Amino acid sequence: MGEDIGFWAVAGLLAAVGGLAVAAAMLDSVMGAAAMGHARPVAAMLDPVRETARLLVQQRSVVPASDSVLRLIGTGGIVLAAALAALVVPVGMRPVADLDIGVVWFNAMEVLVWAALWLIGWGSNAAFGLVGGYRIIAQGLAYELPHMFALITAALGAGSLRVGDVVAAQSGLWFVVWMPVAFAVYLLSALAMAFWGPLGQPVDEDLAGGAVSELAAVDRLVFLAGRYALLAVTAAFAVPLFLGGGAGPWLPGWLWMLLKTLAVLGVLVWARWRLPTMRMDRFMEAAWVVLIPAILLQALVVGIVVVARG
Amino acid sequence: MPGGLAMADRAPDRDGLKLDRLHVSLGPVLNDWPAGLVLRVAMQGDVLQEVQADVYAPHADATAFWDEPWHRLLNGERVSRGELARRRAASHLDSLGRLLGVAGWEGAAWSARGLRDDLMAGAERAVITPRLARFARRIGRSRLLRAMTDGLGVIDVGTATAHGVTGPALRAAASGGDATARWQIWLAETTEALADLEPGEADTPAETVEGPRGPVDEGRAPSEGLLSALPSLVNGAELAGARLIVASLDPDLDVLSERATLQAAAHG
Repeated sequence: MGEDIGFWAVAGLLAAVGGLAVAAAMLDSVMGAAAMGHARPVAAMLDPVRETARLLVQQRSVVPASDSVLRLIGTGGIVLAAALAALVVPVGMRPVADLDIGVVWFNAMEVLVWAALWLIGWGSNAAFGLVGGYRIIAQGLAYELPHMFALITAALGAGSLRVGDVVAAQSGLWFVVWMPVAFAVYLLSALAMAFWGPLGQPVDEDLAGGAVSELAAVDRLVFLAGRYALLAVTAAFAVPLFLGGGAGPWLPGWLWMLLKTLAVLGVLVWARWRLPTMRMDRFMEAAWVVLIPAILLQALVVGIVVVARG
Repeated sequence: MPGGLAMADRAPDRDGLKLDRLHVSLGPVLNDWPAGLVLRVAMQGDVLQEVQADVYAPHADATAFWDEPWHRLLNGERVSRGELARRRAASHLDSLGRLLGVAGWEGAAWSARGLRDDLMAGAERAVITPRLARFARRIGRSRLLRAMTDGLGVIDVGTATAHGVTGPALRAAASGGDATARWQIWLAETTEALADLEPGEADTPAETVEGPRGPVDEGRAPSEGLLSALPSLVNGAELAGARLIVASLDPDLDVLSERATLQAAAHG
């Protein structure tokens, strides 16, 4: 670390994450309205604003003997994890905090999210909340190893765990071109990390909201904000890892970064409306039998290339 | 007792361990759930045990919306084939919408609900056919959906006969009898029904009394067979799987008279 992290840089970064989170929520509303067959789906763009207003005035509902401290730690923890993960995402060519272990830092924040979501489910003192909370643990067991290897493969290609170095290593060729498997696995685990769409089982509607089924009012608002922020940050992190960071012709680096992030975010949001939810009792096997060998092979190929290049 | 609530008790689980057990009621109201159905279960983790199915029938003389044209037919009224086909297709789409909703595929669920509403609003065959074909292709080809519903809640022909299961669920028993087979039958029969919406055939009086969930002229409603088979199917299933099994059977509780409000139990 060592270097100073400027106040304005952090403020700007958080504003960017917030903006992207709102964009994700709006895009989701529009896609949902289109799927529901609304005549003018674009009008649904303001739904997140209405929902925010509704949640702000809604009365808090509390289950008997639920744990309000855990609820606070949980909902706040998701927002905090998203913000801390964003610190290592480069805006342009370098992140706000260019840690020499940036890739590992990102991974650690993700595990913080599991804990936060589990605490919400556990603390709610409700059967569906508890089942949903445990689903994130099962899901973590299924996707975490492939996800970790995907991150490590990119770091291996760059020979560094520093996100800035990973971006610099792609000046010739984007990692997505010669690490397509790692990129695909990363996208899948991005869905899992934000428990979104096909990997949204922990908060799925079959449990009336699962881990967060008992959250209402401001608690739900904070949770939703954290979750969309998480989705935005995981989408943004795909860009420095595999899509060359801020590299691109004509436009400034930060704008390329923004455009690429929006593209990845669009794919993630679209996946929610395009695919059914994966149940972990079925997905676990695919994750361990197919994804782990596939990503290990990918890591091997990358390793051989790195050694051969000297 | 924290908060005045009883703690979970403990009981042996399916792997021979002793685990916490919680008594929970699923229903009578849940999203994409047959309204009025209550499953009383003992849950260990998310595994359902000692499942009991209860029904809160809304009122004794309720007319079942989805079976209504067939009852008119039984009463000697003239009902066109087109009307029956329309109601059957809409009913299956209604069921598919619930199943897809439970499967977490909101996009496809809304397509099914949209098609159902448009059919009930009298949309023409030429308008519906291409849309239904697109919808059927989309979910019919989804390997992910099949992977999630394969092998769930198997009703073979023997079980079906024992519980008096009729209609699509019985026909699905011939092709595997799992949740996948059931939603594929719904999809196939919806597509078939559209052929009868043709204007030329619209006025031909119908003779069949086979409603969307089975024959409506027999002593017991088709959904009674489904309900009777239900507890043993979800017993031992995980919560997510159990939700899909219930949705793939989709009993219509409107058709149950007070006489049929039943209590079925299974122990496992």
